Amino acid sequence: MNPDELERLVDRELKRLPAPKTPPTLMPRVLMSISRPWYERSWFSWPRSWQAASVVTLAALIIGIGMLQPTVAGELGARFPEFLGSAGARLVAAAREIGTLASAMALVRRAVLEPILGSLAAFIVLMWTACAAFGAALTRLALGGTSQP
Amino acid sequence: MFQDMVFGTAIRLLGNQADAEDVAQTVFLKAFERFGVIGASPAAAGWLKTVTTNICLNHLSRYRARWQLFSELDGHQDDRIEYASTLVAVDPSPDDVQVDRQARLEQALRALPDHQRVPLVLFHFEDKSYQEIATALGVSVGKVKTDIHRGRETLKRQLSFDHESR
Repeated sequence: MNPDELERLVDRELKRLPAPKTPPTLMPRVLMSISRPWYERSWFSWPRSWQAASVVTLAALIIGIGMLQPTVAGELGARFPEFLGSAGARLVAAAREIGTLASAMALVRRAVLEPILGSLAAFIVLMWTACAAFGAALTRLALGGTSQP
Repeated sequence: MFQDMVFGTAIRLLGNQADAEDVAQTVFLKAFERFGVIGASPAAAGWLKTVTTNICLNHLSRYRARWQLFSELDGHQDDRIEYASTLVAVDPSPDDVQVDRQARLEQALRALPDHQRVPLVLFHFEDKSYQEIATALGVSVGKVKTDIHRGRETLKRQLSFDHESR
């Protein structure tokens, strides 16, 4: 059978197929989803006016926090200097510890990792190539040479 | 009214009942949101079909990495089990043999690997050209032709089997 005959045969047979029947659970699911109030659905399905209002509100909130933050921080500093002083000291100490840890990690990287970095990269490339070759061989042998779109 | 068309398009493109139900639900929600525009339009069927196809293709491309290898290996066993529940109701009649044959063909279609089934469905059910399918899937026309041909060969084997077993 040549390809044109095959095309006609398959086309004729496929077009004779009846439409698959919708499962009885689908429409109740859709109706339940539709009957939920708009604010319980995803933001993308909100009414446009509410989408716009929510964006404006969020933007106003972010801008407001950004504008008020220095004022609020200054006010808190003036009213609770001891609390902020001890919190600040703890933050500085934590930052110093993180800095020390980062220096130690950098030292380990220079002393241990960098000398073997080239070999490690070569090993990773080699393993990746082997996996790709194995995958291609498996696709060709086990799956009849099929390929993907 | 259009529910069988939407679900049918989705399940043939996706080959999986759960995914097809999710896509159909999304399509009907979109249609509900635009009911004022498309409700009474004669183009409603076309709109629904186009939206269904696009959502299915998006769904497939999202999981492309998964179907590149593993979808062929799993053998679609679960889908075959689910498949029985989506068939058109079979009434005892002289056409039983034909109905059974169609059911097996539908099953064979859904059991095709995604990269063969999707272009095959787009070609035979959506009447897309090879070029349109290649553009939609982002692959070459040659590859589309090869995959469709392989899919047809598989379906032909099913048809031949039916013919011989009669």
